[in-house]
Amino acid sequence: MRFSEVQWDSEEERLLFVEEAAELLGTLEEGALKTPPPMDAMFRAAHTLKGSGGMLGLTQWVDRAHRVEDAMDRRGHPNWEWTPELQQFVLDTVDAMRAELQGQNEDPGATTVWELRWDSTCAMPGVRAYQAWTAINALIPGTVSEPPEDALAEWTGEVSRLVIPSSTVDPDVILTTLQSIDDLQAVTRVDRPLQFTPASLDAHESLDTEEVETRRMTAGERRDATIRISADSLESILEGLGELLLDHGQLEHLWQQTIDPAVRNVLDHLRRRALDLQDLTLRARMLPLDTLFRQYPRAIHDIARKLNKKIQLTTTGGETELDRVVMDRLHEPLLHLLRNACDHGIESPDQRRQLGKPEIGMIRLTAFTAQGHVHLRIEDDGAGIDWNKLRDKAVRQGWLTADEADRATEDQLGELLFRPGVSTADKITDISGRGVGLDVVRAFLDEIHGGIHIESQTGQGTTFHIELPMTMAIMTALLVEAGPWTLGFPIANVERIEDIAKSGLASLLGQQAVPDGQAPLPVYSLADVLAPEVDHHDRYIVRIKDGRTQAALTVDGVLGQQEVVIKPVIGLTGLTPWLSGVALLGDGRLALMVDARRLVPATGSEIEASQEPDPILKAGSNQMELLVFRLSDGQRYGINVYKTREVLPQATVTRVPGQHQWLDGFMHVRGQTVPVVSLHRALGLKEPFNQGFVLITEFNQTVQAFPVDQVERMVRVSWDQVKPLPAVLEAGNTLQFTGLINHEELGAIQLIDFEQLLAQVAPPEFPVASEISTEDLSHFLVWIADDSKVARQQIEKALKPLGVRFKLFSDGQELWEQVQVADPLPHLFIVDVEMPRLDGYTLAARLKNSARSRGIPVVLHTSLSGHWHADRASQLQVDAVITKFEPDVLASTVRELLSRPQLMATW
Amino acid sequence: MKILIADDAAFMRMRLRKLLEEAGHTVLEATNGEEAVAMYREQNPAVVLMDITMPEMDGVTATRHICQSDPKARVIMVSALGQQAMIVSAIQAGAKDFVVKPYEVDRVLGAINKWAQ
Repeated sequence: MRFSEVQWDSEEERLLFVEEAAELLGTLEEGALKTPPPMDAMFRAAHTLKGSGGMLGLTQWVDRAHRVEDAMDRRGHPNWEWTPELQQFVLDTVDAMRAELQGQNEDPGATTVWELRWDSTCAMPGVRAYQAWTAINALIPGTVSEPPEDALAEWTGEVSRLVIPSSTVDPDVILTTLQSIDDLQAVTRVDRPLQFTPASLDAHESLDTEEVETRRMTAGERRDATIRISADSLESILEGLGELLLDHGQLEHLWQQTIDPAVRNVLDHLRRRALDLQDLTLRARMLPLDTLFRQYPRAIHDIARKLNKKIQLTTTGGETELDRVVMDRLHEPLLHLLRNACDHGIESPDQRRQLGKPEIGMIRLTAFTAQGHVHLRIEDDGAGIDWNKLRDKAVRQGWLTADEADRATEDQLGELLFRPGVSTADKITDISGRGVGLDVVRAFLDEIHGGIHIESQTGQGTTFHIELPMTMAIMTALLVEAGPWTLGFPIANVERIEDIAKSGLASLLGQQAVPDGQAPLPVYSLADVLAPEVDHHDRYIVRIKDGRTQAALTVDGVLGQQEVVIKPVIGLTGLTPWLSGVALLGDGRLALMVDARRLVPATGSEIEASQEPDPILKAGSNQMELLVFRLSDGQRYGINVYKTREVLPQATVTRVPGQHQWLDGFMHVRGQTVPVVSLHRALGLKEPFNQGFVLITEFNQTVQAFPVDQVERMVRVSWDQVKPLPAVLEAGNTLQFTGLINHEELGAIQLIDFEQLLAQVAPPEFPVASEISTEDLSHFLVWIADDSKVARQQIEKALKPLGVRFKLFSDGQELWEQVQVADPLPHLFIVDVEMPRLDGYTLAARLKNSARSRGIPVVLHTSLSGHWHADRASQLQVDAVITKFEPDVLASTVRELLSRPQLMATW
Repeated sequence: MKILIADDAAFMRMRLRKLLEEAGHTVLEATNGEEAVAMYREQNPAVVLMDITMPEMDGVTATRHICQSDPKARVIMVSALGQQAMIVSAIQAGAKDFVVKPYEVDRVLGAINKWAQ
């Protein structure tokens, strides 16, 4: 019989077999990799595997186990020897048996749902539903009835359901069993997804267990039982708790005036419980590193065999616990480093003999906890790095000048190995390939906010040192204010806080060194580092130490320390590499979490490789960041992050009579009075429920606020995912939409055309360009791409007085396609930034890179302002960037560009 | 087939006996739960038709006793409408099925045939 054909008496029985077999196979595998192998234990394991397989009648399984048992049985025989061939045979057999098992071990959480429709004449449907539950539960324990079985005595109705755990019981058997019950009119299998649908797996997800074992927290007799819960569910619980704490913060904010001790008590209790639960849940996410380490001895064995080398891996500190999320991400880089050590570190047995080293190369994998971080070391006793050869290479490659190379420390040289592209450089025997993919390893670790550096002694071996956060979800942060921002630093990285006035610093201007005992320390104004033009009044110095980065940062204010739940900011990291996440504070504000290592250069590493801008969000990638929020209809809406300034808790709105019906009034934000526009009324929805949030946005050179019900997260999307809104949806709305995105996790996200919305609330004035051209520009042709009809009209109106001819396109793709075929081409392009299909950044980059259009000036015309956009626009070689909507500026820029002499010459 | 009827109402027993004998069964009668339990032990009938409300010992309790001593016992509850909760307890106690009074002939015989197999 095959494994899949086994008829299990119960799910428990099946699980018991699978778990026990997995353990025994582990014993065999680990034993086979030890010298000498524990023969007796391995023999017993094979024997037990054979026995239990025999009980089930698994012919192939039994045969395999038998052959291993047989081989081990001859141990002690004078001619018997534990040979590499025998070792490989055992390992191969383990693999084969494991494969057989794993076919059965998939998806333990899946359930099937059966809908039972009872005859309308049935006298007591509750009894029938109960009979059905009894019968199925006897077949597959753990079956649940809806309504619950203990409520069926009172139940009358026509449709009940059974939720049946996955099992090897044939669905036909379930069906036949159900059909034997009277009054059953119909049975339908209506499987639905689990309550928490597993999100798409990360590409580098490679642990084979998708679940973590967690303690069941319910009271009662099953206290010690473990259940499996998907990591995604755990994640959802954590997020829920985070939001609960946030609600608490808001409640406390609302009730801060109250002195009623009863209310205080409840609030305090609520907070304590929520924090306790968060703590418990976080702990449930921690796993011992052994779960990861266990798979490496086998991997090393296989690699060594392929390379004809002798290598032994030892691991210590496997009991160190680490957040599962971090651990999953760790597997790939760790395997990479181990593979590197085998491939390029450890020498061949012959070489090692000649060098007087033991034939067997050693790789040590060590884990330990220190200073709130988990540390990992991967040490090998191989060839190490020839630093002098690396110096030569660095000079040849032009990374360093000869002088720099001479002065460079090993630390600094080691950093060079993490540069992208090092691996493609010509080979240097000893370090050849040392750099293979080290940039990739670092990128992986960056994602989980880990650090890595390399130490090596030529001829002696190499050590990689990895530092990881224990958990990515929660930390104690020091909150500070700099300019308009609230920022947080992990408290573990804060060394000292000083008052500027009392610090005895000579001067804070520039990046002056502070006398600090031994090492001079660079001083930066945090606000200046983030955005040079913002207003700030630095009063404190925060000294930061993070790995090898040390700096003194001056800030406006210090808000104190707070436990925060960190939400990842996906994608934004490209533009703001220092941003390690966003924390929601009790009062609803967002704090930006700073990764100091990426904010200021590492101390003493003045020769550090210049950082290429992250390719992900660099201009021309046709991508954008959306801040996703929800309104009272529960739908998701998105706004370009470039348009947003901050998210505030609901603030007091001063209503003004006689305004546009979508205008709520005005509110005060950081010394500025801004209009509050109701998306709810614009969309015909009911008003937001009580306490929501307010999105403060900045575009069209104005600041405006939009109340929303819920702010979810930021997502990175590509403009080519933006689809026009289905006509049905668009029809009922007075609002216009840029389009709709079907996000793989969040589902549909609607993109409101915010410029259009604003134009409707406050119709733009059309100040006609005041200077009327005296030159004749009528022979010039201008192409304009803008997805907003209003914007196209505005541009048309602004350019009319110039007398130029123009052609209008409703998105970037349309214009780009015409560029390929049109003749003649225009004399000037004016392109909007935010357009479906192909955004303006990408369009501009393509126009400038295409031989056909390279010589034609491009004007980037956008409602985006703020330094994020400025950053991105500056990466492009466009001829002008104009902010919407200033007809004068547009007209004069166009005229100036068209009158350039070189342009005249081309035509 | 040997069938035990447990019901305190003589009329019901008579009606059932007639129906069952016409179908070719042998009928035993008990007038309360205690009697039913004792008779089941002595006579080991193939099927029991059990009323719920009876003096001395009710039908649910009697069912529990019978099913405890013989897990394979086939007890079918005979009940009036509105006794759903009682029947659920009877099924928990081991009863196999139920029929509702006033019953249709086919239903009673159908249930007996189904469970007697």
